[in-house]
Amino acid sequence: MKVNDKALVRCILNGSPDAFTDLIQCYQKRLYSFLCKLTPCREDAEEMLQDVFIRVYRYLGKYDEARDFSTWIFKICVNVFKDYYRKQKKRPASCQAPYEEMAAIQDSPEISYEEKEDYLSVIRLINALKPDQKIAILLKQLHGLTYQEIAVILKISPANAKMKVSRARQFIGLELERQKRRRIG
Amino acid sequence: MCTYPYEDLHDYIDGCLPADRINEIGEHISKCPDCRQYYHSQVLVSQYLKQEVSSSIDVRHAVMLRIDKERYPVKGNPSIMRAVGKCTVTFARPVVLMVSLAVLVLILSYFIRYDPFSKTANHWSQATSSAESEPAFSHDSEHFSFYSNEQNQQVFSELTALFEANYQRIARDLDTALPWKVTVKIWQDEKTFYDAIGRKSENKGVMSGRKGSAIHVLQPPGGAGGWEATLGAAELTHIMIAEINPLNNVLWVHDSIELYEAVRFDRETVTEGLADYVQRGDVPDLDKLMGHYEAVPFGEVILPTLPEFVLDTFGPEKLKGIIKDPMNPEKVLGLSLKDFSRSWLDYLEKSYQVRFIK
Repeated sequence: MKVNDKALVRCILNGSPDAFTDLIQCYQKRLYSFLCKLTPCREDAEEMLQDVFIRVYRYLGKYDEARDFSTWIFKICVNVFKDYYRKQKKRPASCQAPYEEMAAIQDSPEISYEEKEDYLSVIRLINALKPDQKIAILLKQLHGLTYQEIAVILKISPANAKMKVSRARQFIGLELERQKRRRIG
Repeated sequence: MCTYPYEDLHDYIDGCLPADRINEIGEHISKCPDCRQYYHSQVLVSQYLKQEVSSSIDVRHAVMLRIDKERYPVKGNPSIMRAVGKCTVTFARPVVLMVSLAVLVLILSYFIRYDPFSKTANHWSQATSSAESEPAFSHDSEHFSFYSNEQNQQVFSELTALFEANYQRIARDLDTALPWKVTVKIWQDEKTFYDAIGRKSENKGVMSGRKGSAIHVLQPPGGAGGWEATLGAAELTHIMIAEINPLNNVLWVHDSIELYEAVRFDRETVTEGLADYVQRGDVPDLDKLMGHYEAVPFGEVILPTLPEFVLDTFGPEKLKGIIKDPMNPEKVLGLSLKDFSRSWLDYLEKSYQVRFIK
């Protein structure tokens, strides 16, 4: 747990709800990036982000200071993400929001056609990953969490967490190679 | 197809291998087209995942409106806790910032006395929350949502006119607008009202109070009419200051603007206070006023002349600038503290027809 997180949490628990705005400020960008990569639908990501902070505030009294706050908040974020789509009975991929990143790549003149195709394929393949694999690889590569931390968030063993990241990487790597071969052939 | 273990390639990507293994795998990747392609795919994954989201986001308002701000009751002095938190945050930064922090602490000790919100927060902690039930009727105006246990249209109309007029004035002076509607709860029963604002009922005469971002008002006996023109103005002022800078806890900024906007002073009283200075051969001291105005003769009387001076001389944008950066009024106004003081005294002399013996 970072020192500033700890101080902010204590302020909030001591009856200063305004300190919570500082906590939101500290984490909203990271969590929003995480949620936007999990779901292509920005509106869903924003709604989920609000739900994350509301849940954080509600359960802050139960938070154990001995544990890492960043891991705790990501755990809540993952739970909110899973609950959101469970309640709505849809998969994130079914949301037909525009992929801004894809559009940006397609419009970029300085990137070769093949590079663009590879990059777009990677985006599609990441979005086709199983939710737990996607969460695991995001936590590893976007936020640099350890397998131990990912294990806590996904409620699995560290070895299992490493396996999920490995499977996700293999799926993307091998599938991209297959698609490239098909493109050339 | 290369049979090099994926696990080794993944450990290489994660950077968790000893130097000799890194060199070995790096060399293999450079020679093996399959592994180079595989590694390239992982680089693309990393690039995409680390690519920043183009749209920015700020959910602070939306979240703060949805949470129960009284969930965690006040323990100890929140302003001190807050200050401790802030200091800890600052100390967590690199050592290079320590020098600027030392300067900041000196300035802080000069300007800050206490967190204006702590006074009310401590009162609120004494509230018996069980007494507060949600009012049943509501009425929306442009900037407010009114709630009451009585469906009295006249009360709603009168308060709408009064609150909207105060809103226009304060929003203009502070050069700001609230992006959300302020909740105003109207109470008919004194006890429930005092419980709602966390004050003891022997504080007779209090007609409004704030709890979080909601304003509570006590309806005068007999229903409509009898409202003070500045009802809720002090509370609204603090809400707007918090909107501009939620971290502003500088006493003179909060209190001077509150006194100015709540019109608890009149020009005649200010003139009398300033005449007393002239009689004593004294001059109002800006440093002391900003530091501890209650210890200054007629401090509360002349304090609201500070925002009055800033507004008349520099305009609302500069007053907003001071709220944003209360530690550096000189920087905001483009004046040294000495020149700021001199200009303010000149303004008082002209505006209030007094002549100080300098």
